[in-house]
Amino acid sequence: MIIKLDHVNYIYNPDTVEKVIAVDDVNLEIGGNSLTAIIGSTGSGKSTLIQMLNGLLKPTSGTVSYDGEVIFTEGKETKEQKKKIRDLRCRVGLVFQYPEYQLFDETVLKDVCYGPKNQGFTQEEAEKKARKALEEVHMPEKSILKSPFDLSGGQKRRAAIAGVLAMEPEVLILDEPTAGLDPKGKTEVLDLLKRYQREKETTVILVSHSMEEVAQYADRVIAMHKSKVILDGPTHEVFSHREELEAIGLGVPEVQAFTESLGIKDAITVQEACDAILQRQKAE
Amino acid sequence: MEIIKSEKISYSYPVFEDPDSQENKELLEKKKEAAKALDGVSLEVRPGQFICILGRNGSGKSTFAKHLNALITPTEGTLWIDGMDTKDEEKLWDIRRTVGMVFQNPDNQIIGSIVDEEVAFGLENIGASTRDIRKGVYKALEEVNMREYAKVSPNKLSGGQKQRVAVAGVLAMNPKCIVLDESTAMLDPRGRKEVMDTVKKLNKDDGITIISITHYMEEALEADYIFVMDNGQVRMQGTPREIFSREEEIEELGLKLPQLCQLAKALRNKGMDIPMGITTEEELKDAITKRQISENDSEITAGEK
Repeated sequence: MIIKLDHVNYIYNPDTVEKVIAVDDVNLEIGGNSLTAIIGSTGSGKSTLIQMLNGLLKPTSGTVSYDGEVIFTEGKETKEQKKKIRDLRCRVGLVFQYPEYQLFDETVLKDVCYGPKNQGFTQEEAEKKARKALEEVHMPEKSILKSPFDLSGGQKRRAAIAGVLAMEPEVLILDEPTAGLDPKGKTEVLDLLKRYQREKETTVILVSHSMEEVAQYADRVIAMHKSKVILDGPTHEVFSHREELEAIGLGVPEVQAFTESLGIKDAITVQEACDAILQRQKAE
Repeated sequence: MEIIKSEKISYSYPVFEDPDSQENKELLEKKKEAAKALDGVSLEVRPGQFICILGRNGSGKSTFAKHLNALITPTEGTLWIDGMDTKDEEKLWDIRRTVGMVFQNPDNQIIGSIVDEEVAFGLENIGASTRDIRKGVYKALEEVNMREYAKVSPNKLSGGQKQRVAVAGVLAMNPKCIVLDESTAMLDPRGRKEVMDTVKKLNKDDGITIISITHYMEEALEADYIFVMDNGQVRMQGTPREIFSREEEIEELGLKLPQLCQLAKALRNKGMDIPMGITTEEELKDAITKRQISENDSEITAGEK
């Protein structure tokens, strides 16, 4: 699925003194076989943007289309449109920040069944989908009948992600999926997202504050600043704009900053830095 | 005297025991075992140190932090804060003035509707005079570089600014020690830097002891001393150089080396002569370029012969 944003604006409290422009004239096309990272400082409009991508928020102006189809239009929605919006939220799955706070059921399995059951699948079908999703997040077999509250931090996060995967979304969006996790938990979550994205050849979009993570996992990076998209391109390309990134409070991965001080450009991960340093030594 | 002295402290979260329940003893024991969050923690912190506590989720870091200003007290063992036993209820308020806490989510701990009111909250609670409150509040805001926001509503601030206001609130009480329990976890890179720069300054200029609990290994590189916890115990302790030299152990404990150390390790694995325990860019740069120089040197010597 290709999601296309055409001159999209979002304004909180329009027509009041408290008016805040959260997204300002954004044009984007996201989709296909890619893992896209959205970066930007707090308040730059990232969360508003991703909520428009799955129809939780309706743009104040401009259009969002899915494979060419515009679902939101001016004025009140018809019954048919409402159904389309509902479907859309299953097709575009959104995982909020700290999603494990929303785990609620007695067992992990039951919790993950909740989504597909709401989609209208039978208990049996829902369970099948849930088991598949739990397998995708590498949940150990012995954990799926446990209470979600007995899991470790990283496992809880993965269970919550499975809850969205079980609805088999075409596009998966995650708001800071690694926030608050320990380093191992972070790696587990990111590895699983990358693997899922590669295997399904689908679209995964994630918001992150860690440039190191973004450099290592994303194919494409969209940088937002003051409600606008200011950089958008392949990961290496975006990180070559070091000055702009620093000016908006983000910067580049540590290892990139370090290798640039050695005069090496374009090495944004530890592996690339290592290779580049060795290659240069060989050349000398 | 140590500002923090922990002697074999253990802590178990209370387990609900239903007297009528037929629940078997074994299960109850299991539950009790699982509720044990700290298991014989002994450590000492000297005044003015910048300490980092690392460890995976559920390792007991936050439970330990909650002991430091007597939000909870040990089930076994003793914890002294600046010579005061945290179980001594008469000392409770002195302990809480000595150690201030800043938590993870700024939105959960800010209650005032204007920044200066928020910072004044603690002083008002101890009945300080209006003049002292004013003085204390503005001095604290000055220290965290938020003076110009004194009359702003906290919800207009960025995450980093909110956390600095929280630090100011603690600072107004004139503490000897500030505990940051993952206070940078929800911040963007600039916010993280603002908060870390602020507490580093308080540590250096005012000699305030800092205990920082974090998942950011890069932050730990700048600490004076690191404790690594796992399973309710202190499993490693040492300077950043000592800790990050023990590469295998770090990973076993669910942590990760800082990127700089990862690069040093990767180069070493490829046969480059990089010493263990590199903690700064300068050291790694030296190690890489020195190798080049020494090779060049040997070529020159060979040429002369």
